[in-house]
Amino acid sequence: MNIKRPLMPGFLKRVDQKLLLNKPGIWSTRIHLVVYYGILFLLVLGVICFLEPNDPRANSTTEPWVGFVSLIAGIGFIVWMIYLLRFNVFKKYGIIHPLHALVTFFLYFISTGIIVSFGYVHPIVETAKANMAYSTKEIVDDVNNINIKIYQLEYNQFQGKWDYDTVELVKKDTAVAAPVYDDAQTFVDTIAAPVEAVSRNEYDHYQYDSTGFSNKINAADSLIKLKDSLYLVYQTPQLQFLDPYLYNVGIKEHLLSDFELFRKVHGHRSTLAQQDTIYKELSLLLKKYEYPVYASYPTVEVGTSDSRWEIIQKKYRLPGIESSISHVLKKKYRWNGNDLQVYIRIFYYLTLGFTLLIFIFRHTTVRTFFLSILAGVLITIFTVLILSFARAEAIQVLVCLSAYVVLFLFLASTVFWAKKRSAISGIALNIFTLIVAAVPISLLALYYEYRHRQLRLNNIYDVEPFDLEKYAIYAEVGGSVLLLVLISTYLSKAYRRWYALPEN
Amino acid sequence: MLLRWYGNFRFFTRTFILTLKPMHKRIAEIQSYLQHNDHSLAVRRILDASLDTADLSLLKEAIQVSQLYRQYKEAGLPPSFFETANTLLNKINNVTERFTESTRLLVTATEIGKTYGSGNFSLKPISLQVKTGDVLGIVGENGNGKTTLLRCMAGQLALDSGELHFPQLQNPDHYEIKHQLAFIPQRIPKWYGQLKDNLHFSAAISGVKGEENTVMVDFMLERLDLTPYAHLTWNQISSGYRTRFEIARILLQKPKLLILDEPLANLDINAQQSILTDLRFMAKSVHNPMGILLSSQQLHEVEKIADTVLLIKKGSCLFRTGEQEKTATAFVIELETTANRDQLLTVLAAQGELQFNGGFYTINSATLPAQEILTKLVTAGIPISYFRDITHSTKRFI
Repeated sequence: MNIKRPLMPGFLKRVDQKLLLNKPGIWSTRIHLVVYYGILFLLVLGVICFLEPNDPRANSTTEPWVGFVSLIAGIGFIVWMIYLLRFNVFKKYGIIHPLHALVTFFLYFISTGIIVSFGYVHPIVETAKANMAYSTKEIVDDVNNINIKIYQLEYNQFQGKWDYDTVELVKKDTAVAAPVYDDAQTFVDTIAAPVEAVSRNEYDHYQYDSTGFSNKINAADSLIKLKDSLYLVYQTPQLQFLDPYLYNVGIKEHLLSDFELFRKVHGHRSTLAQQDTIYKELSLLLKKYEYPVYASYPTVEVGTSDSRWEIIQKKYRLPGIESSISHVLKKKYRWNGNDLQVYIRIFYYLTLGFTLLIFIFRHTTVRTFFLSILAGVLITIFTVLILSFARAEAIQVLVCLSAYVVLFLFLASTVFWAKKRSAISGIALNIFTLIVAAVPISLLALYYEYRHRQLRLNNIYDVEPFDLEKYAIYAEVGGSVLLLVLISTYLSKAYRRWYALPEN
Repeated sequence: MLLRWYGNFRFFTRTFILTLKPMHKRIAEIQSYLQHNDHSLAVRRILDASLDTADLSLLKEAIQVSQLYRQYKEAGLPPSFFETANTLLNKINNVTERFTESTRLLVTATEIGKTYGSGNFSLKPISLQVKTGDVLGIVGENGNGKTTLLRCMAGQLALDSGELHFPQLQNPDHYEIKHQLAFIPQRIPKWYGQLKDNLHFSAAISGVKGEENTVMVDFMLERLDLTPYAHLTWNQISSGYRTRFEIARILLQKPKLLILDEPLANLDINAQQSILTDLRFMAKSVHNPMGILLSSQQLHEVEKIADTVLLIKKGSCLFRTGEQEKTATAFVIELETTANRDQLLTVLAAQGELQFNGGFYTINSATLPAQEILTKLVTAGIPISYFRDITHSTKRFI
């Protein structure tokens, strides 16, 4: 192809010519152009995102970026589809390999994947920038140091009496429901009556059965045993002055708890000279995380009714610091755990969906393609309306979906004994192609709902039939495999036959 | 033993002579064209002959000859052109022996008919056969079913009656059939990108790959005189050249059966002539013979090159040249003259009927053949600007 394309190097022209002369099937997908221009755009976008004057401590700008880049990706997709995908071996009745459909589907998937990946550049670059600016250990150490130093500076304010609860062991029948604390921790030792204790409320008297009692005792910061079945459970005052949202459970283990902070500082009252040094060090640390936008926090004046906690927060401008650290951590841990799975699924399903649309578009007439889209939308609307009016449950929705799959498969298969090209069989074939990858996950959901229903019929409620999430991934992979197998066998033959049939 | 050897020898010489004869004749014809300054025709025939050798190196040489001709045709051809052409012809002469000409039946249509659901038109059952090397013309007025017949033959329209049989294909599906035949509609669908790339693509999807692809595309560009337009796009060329490009594209796909709907519609008179003769030559190519089915309003041009012409009127086959033309009961002449009706009637002396359609006179005579009428007219001093014997032409039915 000798058309003058911007930034098209000589090697790409040679590749283009070689593919045109020898592999027209691959050439017609224009994957070489999409890969080259796609990677070029990814690099340019990456550099632009990297040079974006956005501080890692600031709020993420990913959402508007993703929106903007998605528009560009959309334009790229349209350009690819309209201006580049104009040559079609299949529609010109050229010589096609038995695996032609599968290979072209795979190439469309790669091309679409590159275009869809545009939207992931900014979040990835933002994560890289956050990782480069702050390591997790550095943040954890700094947060611990800030908390220690504030405690050291405000030492006198925390010399008061600790709150305690009275905890009593009773028989199971008479136990009073008690709150459950997630942050239970096991101690190495206990501090017996560190300060004079006072009950916050005379009603803070809890009764537990043996399990609850044991949990409460194990989670206590400090205890006074009144008798075997009666304890005073002391709680350390809140000393985690800086407590940013962490976005990663792993970090929490490294942050000093209230009790650990107490143990580190208690009994080491600092002198005035030391306090001056501590204050300077603290100021440096705070400045490190203080983002100018959030510096407006300290302008809030301390009120006469403010609590000790609120005064400290305002005095050291901690809410702003906390936001900054949270922003950094959010950027760093954007790709962790379930979030990563979500992002992968979004990428995969967007790519798969667009790839299927292109695959169908390239194997059917333009008229039938748009009729299929219209039919799909109309069928969805009518089905939703009917199911809504019938107050259908999930199982009925899934049965309906399965019935549609069977119906479309049957209508699509009529092409093998038809003598004329029919729009109905073409539409059915297109819709079946579009939804077939979802068949395994639908069947799994149907089976799950069926088992769930059986359990409910037997008055068993809080039991899951099986771990749906665990099997869902198998069903998703199975759906993709099923699609690929059908493309290389049934679908390629059905499309070949349907497209070549004479019209009426 | 001797007899057996003699028998083999006779068989070999007979085959050899029979095979070489037409090819040698072609070479001699081309040399004659060169001698008599019919250079354009000679170059086209050299290209055809080189294609029949199926030898890439000879094809490349033929392309060079053609390029040389294009380069010097205005200024005068240099001796090197003739030297190169003759050397090439000698080489072609030496390799033609590997080919044998044979005709094969491509398609048989038996009583095929089509009725449109919306409208009153229906194509009445028609039977026809196309063999390799055949050119079959379909003529008729607008709206009489020519395009419907061609689309039925091309497998684009479902038949309501009758059947199509492709003897060369073993249990073909519709895709395979459409791969083997090519249909060029009157309104050629738009191409995208450079015209040359489209040609490369068409050749490649038909299995013509690599260097062969490049040579074949260059060949086709030279053959249809398209080289100067190769790097242009669809919007940059005239409708006549679009038709030529479409023909080039289709020919690169090496179809067994080529179906063309009104291919002459967008061509000038010279182009009509050359395209039709080129098509006839290509159909009878030794290397890749094919059957051609074409429709046109240009009756005389089609009749000149077609082996059989079908006249379609109101969906029925009204007349077919060949068998039916023997049934003519009168001599029919078409005449353009400045003489008036009375003068003509005097010349005819009641031996013929005269009709005038505003442009031409048509003379029907049961006794006077064309030569005699012409003699009478010339003898009587009637000025004649156009004279055609249409006794065996489909024109007499229109």
